[in-house]
Amino acid sequence: MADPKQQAFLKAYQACHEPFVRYCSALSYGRMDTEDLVQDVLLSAYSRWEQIEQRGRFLHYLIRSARNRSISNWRKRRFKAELTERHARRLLAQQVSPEVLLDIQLLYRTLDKLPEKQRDALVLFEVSGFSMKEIAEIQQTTVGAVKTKISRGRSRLRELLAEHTDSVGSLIGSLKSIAL
Amino acid sequence: MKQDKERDEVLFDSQRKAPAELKPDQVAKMIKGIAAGTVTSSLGSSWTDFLNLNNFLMISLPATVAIGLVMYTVSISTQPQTNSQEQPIPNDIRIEQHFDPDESRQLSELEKEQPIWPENADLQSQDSSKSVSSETQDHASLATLLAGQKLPASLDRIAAGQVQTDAAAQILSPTVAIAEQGKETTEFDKNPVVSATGSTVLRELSGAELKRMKRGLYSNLIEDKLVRSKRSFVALELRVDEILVNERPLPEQLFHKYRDLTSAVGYGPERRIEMDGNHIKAGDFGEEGFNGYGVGTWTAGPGQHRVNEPASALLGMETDASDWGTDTFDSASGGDGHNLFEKSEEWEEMIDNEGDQLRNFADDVRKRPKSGVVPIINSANYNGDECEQMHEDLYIQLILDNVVEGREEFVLIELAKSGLIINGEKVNAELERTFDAILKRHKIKRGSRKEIQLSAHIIAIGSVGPDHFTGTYCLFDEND
Repeated sequence: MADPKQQAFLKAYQACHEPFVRYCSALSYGRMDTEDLVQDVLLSAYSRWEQIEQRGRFLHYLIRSARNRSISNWRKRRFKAELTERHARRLLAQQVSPEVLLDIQLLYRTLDKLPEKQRDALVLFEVSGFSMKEIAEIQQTTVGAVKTKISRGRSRLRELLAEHTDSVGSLIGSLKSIAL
Repeated sequence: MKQDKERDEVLFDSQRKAPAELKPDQVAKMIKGIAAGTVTSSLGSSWTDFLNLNNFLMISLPATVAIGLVMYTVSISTQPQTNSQEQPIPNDIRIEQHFDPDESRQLSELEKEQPIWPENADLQSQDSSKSVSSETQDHASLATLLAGQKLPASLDRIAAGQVQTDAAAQILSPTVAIAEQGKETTEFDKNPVVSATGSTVLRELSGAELKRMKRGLYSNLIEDKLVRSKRSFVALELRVDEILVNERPLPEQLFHKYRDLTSAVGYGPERRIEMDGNHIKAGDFGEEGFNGYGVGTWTAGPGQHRVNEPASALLGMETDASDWGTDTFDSASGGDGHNLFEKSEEWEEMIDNEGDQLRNFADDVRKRPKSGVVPIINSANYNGDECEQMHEDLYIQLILDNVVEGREEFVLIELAKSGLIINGEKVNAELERTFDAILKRHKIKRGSRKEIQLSAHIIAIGSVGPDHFTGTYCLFDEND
């Protein structure tokens, strides 16, 4: 017989799984294991389950908790190749094609270069699928401010992707000239 | 741009279409593990993560300091118990805890009247007119034995309970206080040797000790709002039963603290500490002049030159006490006056001469031509304090490097970019590095026309033209 608390927790989590894990993946990419972050947030949430008043907004709680942990010291960790490899293995195990995997990795790597607030808003909007209003609630700010962050974040992301494309293009060009 | 937009949208689309990194059943297992209590925080990860230099230092340094402090405290508190001259204390020794202020005032007079007790004195020979009971004599002799040294006759009155504040008892005879409580009660001089004049014998004070005392005193005086800054002139009169700061008696709650801070100097009717930003003197300021120890520079009187002597050289130095002005705390304004050195005509004349001589000296030794135009010389403005600090730093370095023998010598430092020229000679690389550090500290940049002129009371930083000087020109004495 399962524990009622566990049952309630699992039920509440079920609705949050997809956006929460995607958010954690984007946030932890290359810096720590997504599984570790998810587990840590869930451990904290489970231990405080009784104190969580707005269980209807459990997802908001999980997102805020994950973000707070990202602000703390582990975000200062160096980018580790082994973590990106682990991320790749997990997606490949779920039948994700290598092309899609490369796209996702490029996206996460580029997002990592954005300012923290812009990245956070953009990930919540584009990756986790929150509305502007929901993001404003999570970030405890106004919808206008969220719009600004998303807009600026997207512009910067495009710039970074354009730079990346140029550098890859020039590398291919130089390789071609060497081959000729 | 269209292509870029498509690119980021393509990437987001790919991400959305792909499954999440962790499957729902994986997370469900995780939650079950959490519920079963088998999962611990992964952010803590391995305990070896905590093994880094930062954590090691954060833990080991405070621990070392704490252990050191404990050991030091223990060694201090056990010191008197290891004194071979100490004797067991009879249980019946006690000091009554009431206070008669008149007795305290009469104390110094009694000390003057009565001779110092000889060591191992025969107490039975004391005159009965002095009202010394045999019990009191026993107490006093025990106290003397404990101290292992001479004590004034007046101390028997303390032992007999005739002068009885804790403060007075501790000041006049800490050993009696020890007898009462069986342990040390204060940290200041445990065994003061009191002379016939009622003063404790002034022991030799090193320069470092005086400087340390000065720092401690200023820090506390500022904290207690008794002075405004570390440059304010302060006279502490260390009397037997009170301490006056700039002629104002300290309140009782501060008395013990300052008695402790000045314990090395002791106390007495003429015992004083005088200090300002540039010096500290500690000793007896009697009618015959100052007799004690000092360190730093100060003015012995109008028209006289500064002195800068090592602490030990001042013992027995005599100066006319009238030359020393008094400084009073201006309670109305909350400030402290600086009347020690009134600028006299002699001073004006002296400083004019010094300025002329410095200019002539600089003109003689200057290697580079005077600037024809007035350049913008300094990025920073210097106030009096900064100038004085710069003056002090430069002279100290010049003396340490044997470039000059003292502040009486004039100095011209030409701040050429190609190299520093001091008194017409280019300095070596090592010396240049040292002076560069000082210049950097004071935000002085080098330049083709820049120079620093120094004399005992002048510092000039700037550029000298054919008939003008542009820059900062600062005159100062000890009281600025």
